[in-house]
Amino acid sequence: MSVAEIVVNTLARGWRRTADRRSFLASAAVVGSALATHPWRYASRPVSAYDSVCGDGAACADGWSVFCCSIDGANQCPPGSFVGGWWKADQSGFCCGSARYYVDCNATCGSDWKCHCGSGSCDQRRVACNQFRYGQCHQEIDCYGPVVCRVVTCTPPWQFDPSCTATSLTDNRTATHSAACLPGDCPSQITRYWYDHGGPGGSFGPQRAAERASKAGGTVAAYRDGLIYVLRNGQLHTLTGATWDRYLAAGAGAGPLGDPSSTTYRDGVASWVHTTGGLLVTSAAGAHAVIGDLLGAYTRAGGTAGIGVPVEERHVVRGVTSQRCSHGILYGSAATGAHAVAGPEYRLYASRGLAGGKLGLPVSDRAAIPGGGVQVKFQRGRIYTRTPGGASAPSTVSVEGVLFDAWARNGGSGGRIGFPLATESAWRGGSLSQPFEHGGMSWSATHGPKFVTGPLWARWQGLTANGRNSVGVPIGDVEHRTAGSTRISCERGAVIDGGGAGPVVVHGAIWDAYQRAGAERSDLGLPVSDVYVLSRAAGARQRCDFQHGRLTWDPATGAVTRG
Amino acid sequence: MRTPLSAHGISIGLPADFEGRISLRGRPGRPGTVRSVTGRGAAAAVTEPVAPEPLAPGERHYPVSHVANFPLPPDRGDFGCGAVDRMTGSHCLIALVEYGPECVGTALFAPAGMPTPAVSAFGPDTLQHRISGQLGYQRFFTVSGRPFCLYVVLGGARNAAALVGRVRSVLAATTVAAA
Repeated sequence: MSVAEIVVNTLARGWRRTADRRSFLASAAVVGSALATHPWRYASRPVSAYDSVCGDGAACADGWSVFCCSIDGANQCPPGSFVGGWWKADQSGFCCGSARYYVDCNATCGSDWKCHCGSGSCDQRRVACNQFRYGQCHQEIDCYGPVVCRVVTCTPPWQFDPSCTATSLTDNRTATHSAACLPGDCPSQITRYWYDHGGPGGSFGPQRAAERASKAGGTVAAYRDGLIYVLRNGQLHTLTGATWDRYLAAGAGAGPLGDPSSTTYRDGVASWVHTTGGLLVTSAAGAHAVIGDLLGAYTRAGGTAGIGVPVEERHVVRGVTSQRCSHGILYGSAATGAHAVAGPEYRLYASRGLAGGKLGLPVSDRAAIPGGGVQVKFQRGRIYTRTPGGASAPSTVSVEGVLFDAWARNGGSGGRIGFPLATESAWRGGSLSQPFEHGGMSWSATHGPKFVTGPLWARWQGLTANGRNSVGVPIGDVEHRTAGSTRISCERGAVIDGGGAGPVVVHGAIWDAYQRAGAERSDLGLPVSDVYVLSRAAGARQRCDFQHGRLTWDPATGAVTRG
Repeated sequence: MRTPLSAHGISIGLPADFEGRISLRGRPGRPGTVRSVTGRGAAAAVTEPVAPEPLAPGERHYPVSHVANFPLPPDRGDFGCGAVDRMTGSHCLIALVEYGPECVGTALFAPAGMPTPAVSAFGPDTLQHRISGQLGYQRFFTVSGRPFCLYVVLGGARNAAALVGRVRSVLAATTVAAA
């Protein structure tokens, strides 16, 4: 029972002790109009708080049925009853001059309602006594008990209860009937809606804060179990369930979300409502707010249809804001602005360690690139999704860290090696390599970044699987040691072209011996074969053929010999 | 000697000391009007007082007939509120309230034909609102393809048998044309 009800009922009980029936009736005309006012005003007057609040026929002996809210606080049919029918009273002050509707709740056959008088309130009308039915609702039910109680509403019953027909029946003599637990004169649109859903004992529960102007225009009122708000355009909406819980946890209207500014939108996976400070998205992942700098990024990324639903609240760590979504992540900082990484770029970004990896924070949204495809720029890298020439499907790759630094300095995608074709490979010892459209790059701690193009790169790349090969990564740029020859030196060998057999690979002890002999300038000339084994036996000797001889390495002795 | 009262396909033979109204609130095309056919021992008359407010979207009104052996006040609820407060022990009120055609065929309106109330079917709690000494009776039914509720109030138990006899005679003289 509200404070107002307690005061009114206390005063009412005092009034009843001193007022006889004659004086009650004599004051009826006065309090009839008083009914159309707030109960507080009449609670403080000596005349008839009781009558002004509960109206005519409020005594049990008057024979009328009690209001449901006087039984259990809810302006709705209690358990063991059903909506049996309705009537209206025209020009009701309770409904701002429009019709007020009274909905009877008839006892369900077999329920254990017993006839008695209402108590604990000025509405002492009869409970479950009058075996009567208006009959417009639930006509599929032909067995019914007495009217347990009445519900009131300013909304035509057939508009919110599909079991009711619109056959209109009128009883204007009941126009002043009311109860302390019902709203007073001409309630607001929000209050009407609240009471249409049971009032304090109904689905929204008691009011938490008085109705107030909304920051979005219109009005808003908070209840224990939800928010009811009217937008500037007059449309009424609600926040309930998980959405309301999240909104409340975020400080409700006083928090960063501010007041709701839209209806609740829905698609197949989520519902969302805009607020003056952000967005509140509810899905199977729960209800989460998208606010502040991340809101714009989320919206630009397509919202629920693009980056998906937020799966956590926004984090702020050392000036960096972040929020994971079902198909991506949002990052923001003063230095980079706020951006989303979603879809295939997000999947790669996540595999590369997100902002904690080499790429760092995103510094752009997903954007189209000339020639087709998209890119997302990061503090120290790029992620591309594009279909390289000759490929049938798009692929998503990154270039990042030290390789990105060198690649960017050398013209990036417009430079001599073009777009990356795969993400970098890490080698034992910390070296790196990465293929590009027109060659590749490598990096080692000792030698730094190297660019390789043409057939030497293709040959080297052909050697390489899973970040391993026989020669290691290139440690030098393309060299021309003799006229007509080219070489890239690697960590444990080299790829050399010019001997007439195409690029070949020399490595290990034979490579060491070849270098000691003068390499391309030696009397052996250029290599014309890769290093190969002489038999399939374990520990078999290895050999490399040159233009003017050959070198053979015996693993058993470690010796390299000519011939 | 009965005076015929007829409107909206409902015809009631009024005994000499009865009066009746067949009313229709808010007829389509004339929002805010109440159309009544009145009879009391004389030819029926038609009145069209203005009702206070327009219909709500979708709202539908159907004929409501009131027959009583006492003067009916002009401002009555459809189930006789306002009239029943004036009844004495020798009075009776019959309200025949029609519903929309969508009600036909529902369980509530399944009983067919005009009811014939028995004295034993009246009770002090079978009332829209209880008034000490009064007895009430209520039945939903369908006749001639039209759904109705019959609600009867007797002013007192002492004359119940006689009053029920008079009610039954009025109902026997009541016909409803097909929808």
